Amino acid sequence: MFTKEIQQGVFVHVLPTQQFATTHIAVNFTQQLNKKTLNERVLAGNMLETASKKYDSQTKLTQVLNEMMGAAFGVEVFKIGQLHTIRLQLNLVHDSFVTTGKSLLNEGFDFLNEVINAPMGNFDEGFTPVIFDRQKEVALDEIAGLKEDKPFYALRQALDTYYGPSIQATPAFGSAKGLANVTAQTAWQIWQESVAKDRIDIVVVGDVDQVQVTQLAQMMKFTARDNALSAYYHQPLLPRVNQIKVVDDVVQARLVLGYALPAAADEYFIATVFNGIFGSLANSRLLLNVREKSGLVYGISSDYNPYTDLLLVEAGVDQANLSLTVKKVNAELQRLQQVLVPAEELTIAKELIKNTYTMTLDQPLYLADRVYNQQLLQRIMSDDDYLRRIDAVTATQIRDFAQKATWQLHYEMVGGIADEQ
Amino acid sequence: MSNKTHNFLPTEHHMTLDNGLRVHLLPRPEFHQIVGVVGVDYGARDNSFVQNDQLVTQPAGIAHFVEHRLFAQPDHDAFTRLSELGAMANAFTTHSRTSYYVSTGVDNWAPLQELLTFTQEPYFDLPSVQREQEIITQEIDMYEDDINSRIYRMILSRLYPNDPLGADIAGTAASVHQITPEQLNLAFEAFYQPQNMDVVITGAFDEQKMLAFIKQTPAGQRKSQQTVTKITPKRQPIVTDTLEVALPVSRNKVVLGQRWELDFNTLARRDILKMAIVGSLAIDLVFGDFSPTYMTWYNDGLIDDNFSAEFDAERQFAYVTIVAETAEPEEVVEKVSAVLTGLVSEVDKLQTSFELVKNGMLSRLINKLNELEEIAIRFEGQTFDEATLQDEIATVQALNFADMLAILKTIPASSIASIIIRSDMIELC
Repeated sequence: MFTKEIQQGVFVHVLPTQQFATTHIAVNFTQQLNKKTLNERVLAGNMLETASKKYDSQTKLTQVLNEMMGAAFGVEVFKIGQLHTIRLQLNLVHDSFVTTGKSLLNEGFDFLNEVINAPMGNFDEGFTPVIFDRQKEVALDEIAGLKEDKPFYALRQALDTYYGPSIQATPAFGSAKGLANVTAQTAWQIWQESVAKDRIDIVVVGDVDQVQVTQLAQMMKFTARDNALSAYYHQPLLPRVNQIKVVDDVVQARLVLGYALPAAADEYFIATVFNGIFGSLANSRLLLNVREKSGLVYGISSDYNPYTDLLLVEAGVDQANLSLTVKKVNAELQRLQQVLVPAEELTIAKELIKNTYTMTLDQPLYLADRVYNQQLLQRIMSDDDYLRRIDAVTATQIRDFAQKATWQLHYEMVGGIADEQ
Repeated sequence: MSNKTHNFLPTEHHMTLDNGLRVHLLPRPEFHQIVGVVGVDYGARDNSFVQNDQLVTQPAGIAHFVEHRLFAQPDHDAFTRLSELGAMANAFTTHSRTSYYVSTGVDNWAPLQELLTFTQEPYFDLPSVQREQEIITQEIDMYEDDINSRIYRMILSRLYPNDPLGADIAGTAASVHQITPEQLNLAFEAFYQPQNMDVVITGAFDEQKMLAFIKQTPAGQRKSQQTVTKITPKRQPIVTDTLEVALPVSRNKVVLGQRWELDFNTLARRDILKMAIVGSLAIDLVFGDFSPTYMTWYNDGLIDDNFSAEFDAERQFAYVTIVAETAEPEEVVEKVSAVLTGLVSEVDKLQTSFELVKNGMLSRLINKLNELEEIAIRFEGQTFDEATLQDEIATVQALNFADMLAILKTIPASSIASIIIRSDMIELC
């Protein structure tokens, strides 16, 4: 791994490897989650993905990518706790597949430079209105379409309920109301500000030379910036469990339970093993006891976010079994709070987690994402370190950690005629 | 090409063991994992077959049911065991194949031993079969709630009337409740024979040792028995009237389908592979950013990013499906149908974009070289004469526009089936 801060707040990270048939480049723009910029950033990202000054139509942009031996380009937005990131990703095939004798790395950086520093539009008008309006329409349609994905929609409603008025409730891809208010000018301004002020992490994974990558990154002429970022979000405990029941057009009911579960920085590994045993691994207690043994649900899993202190359980369940499922889930949590996990179960869970980690070593996107995360959050560690620290987690630590969980949210989506909203 | 490509494109080995089991070793050095797949040439469409001159018809969803219950062993559950051994495991059933796969660390071959054991030794007991009926019924309900999978089945049932292709792979609540341990054993004996299976291993391993290892497992040791003859349902004419339905979608959807009548019984399988590649390329060309017709639809707002066009080919069937969201369903049906019907001449207009679209396809395939699961699961056994991802890449690399057009002209395509799905959602304010 090679890391260099080429300007204050602008980093280049290179992971040289000959394992892959591709080269993966990610440029990450990170800032603190902010109501005033989030929706603008979403639409700016969509604009960058669609066209630039030089590649001034979707067809031209697609053409230049296909000329680069079918390079894949995409822009995504996501949250890590209280941070919001716009990530531009460019995926190139290895130079040995190139029939023209050119180096795709040079062309790739030229392309990214164009897209980032010369978007389509100008200072007065903002992003070119015709394309912007179309992209805004598409983004709003997409948000409306999410209602059809019932498990996802149920989860979104549950999170809205849990976070209430906090910005944390807004998904990384924005809200219908927020997006509707964005104009071509505001999206343009916020993008220019992001380029000037965000922390930037350029990550490259592939058969590349770090000196060459650094030179290419410097060509983008990012200036120095100063920003202290904090990913952590905490909210005060509610006095009682927040209960909500929604009627929607479903055959199978959806259940989402939420628990506040704060983790100290050194508890990350304990939290990972705890969540694995509880509900995220293929042989988790929720799967084995609530699904396999009781046959109560079709799917059930837990998810833990160490940056927001939130432990979630999601299930697809027959409506008649809802209350029994809630009881069973809480009983499983209580068992983890009271009884030490048996040695054999603990060992198996650790093996699975380590195996999952090892699998990601074969995936360039994960590798690039991990480099970004570790660098951004200052949790830098080697693969051996990670595996060793998973191994070091004890049953007592898991029990003590589980005891900190407080039930906060009980969401149900049941069948019937959809509510008017 | 330089030597460096050797890392991505190492030599692959295919062999048949004495008991008829086909073994495919696809090495990928430098990886941290091994992926093993047992693929059975048996899917949801194969519920009728001839055994000892007798026609046997089994309940819909039986192949998928076998897949779910095969993990059960007399003294343990193979899925749990695989997790305990530190491996990831999964299984899935399509209309033409059933696949079981595990992913494990390079030094941990015990999960491969388990895979090559439990897939050969069924244990179907009544209480767990009855419980599984309920689990699968829930799964069917879940697919019922998924509008996209519903409309996909709808278009297939228009393209293939009276054919299991148009039904849920998992069956129906009624059909899964007809499934008994005896039915499951019958299906297993009929299709889970060594000569009807492929073992694919990819990742980092020593090939000689791996071959010796496979030979000593139950999959390598098991004696083969007589197999059955699969019956491919007779093709019925396509239902060409546009079907209109109301569903809870936020925007109107349009679905179109076209059957490609590739003759799997007479054509060489690698030629069929080439035709499938040509089919996908043609679809990418005419329904992509380089087609002026398509871009006019997009820019006029007739269609949006939720437009997808796909070409699928599996054992004994091949078809195109198109899904779009639109405010003008009739217009989309008419315009897309016209392009599909005149595909050869539409493609002929786009010669200058051929290399670009080919690059796009090549790049997507090259990316899959990084994914062991993709390398293993894409493998379709005899359907394409043991073609691997490497063979697919080579086939695309060798293809030029003239070849493509010539091949396209030889393929008989059907008329068009279509569905319009109108929103029945309450207007939201």
